[in-house]
Amino acid sequence: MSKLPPDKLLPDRQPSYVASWIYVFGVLTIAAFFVILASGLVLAFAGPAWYHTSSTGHYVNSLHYWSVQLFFVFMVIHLWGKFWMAAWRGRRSLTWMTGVVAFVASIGTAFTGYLVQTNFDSQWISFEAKDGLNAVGIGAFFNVTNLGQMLLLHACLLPLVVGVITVWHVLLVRRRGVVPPIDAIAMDSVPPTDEGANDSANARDLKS
Amino acid sequence: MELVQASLDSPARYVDWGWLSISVPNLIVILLMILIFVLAILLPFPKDRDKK
Repeated sequence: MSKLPPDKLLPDRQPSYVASWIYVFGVLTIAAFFVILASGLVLAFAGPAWYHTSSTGHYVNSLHYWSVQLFFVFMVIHLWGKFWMAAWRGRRSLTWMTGVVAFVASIGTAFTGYLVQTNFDSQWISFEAKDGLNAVGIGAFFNVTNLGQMLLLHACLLPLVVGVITVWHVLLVRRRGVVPPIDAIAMDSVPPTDEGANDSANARDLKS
Repeated sequence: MELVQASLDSPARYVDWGWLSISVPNLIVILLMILIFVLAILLPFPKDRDKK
């Protein structure tokens, strides 16, 4: 709590460079993630007999699918933005790495989601994937043709992994502060602290 | 509705440029993402109304 006081956890001011659309995509990714979780919960409780047959079920199923598409679009644009502003600067390497792990875990979650559609698409994807996974020796533990295993991984374990890493990622962003653009001279409203990075010095280092 | 279903059942069209082979839907999504990325950098962000 001492490392993350309330004014740092929920700040009411941000540096002026945050007033850019490119800084919006992180929170858009989280918004899409909430829609995925909410629609996924409805699908899990109502079951395939509902979402494969009723029109409302089809709608929620589609909502789940399309929010995943938006989730990845937002996350990849967020990644591009952070990559080109070298967001690992100023002791933010752990923030960057938790983002990387969240991205990889999200790919696994989406992959298992494609496998549990129970249609020809999922059959094709699983039979293509099983050869690749067998080739690297993990097919016995991670059997993509085992619908029950894939469904449990998709609905129980992997969303939890993505959720926990995302919370960790956001807390690190709050603790270290939002990364400034490379040519930013100073963080104009958030002074550098011991915990956070000395971004102005860092920016000067990169420029020189 | 039948027309839509028929188009969804058929495989996507692919474009080939030398070593690169990509489906048209994937190409459209990637181009749209690049467009959104460029617009996010170039478009001005709305100013805070409370700020003078």
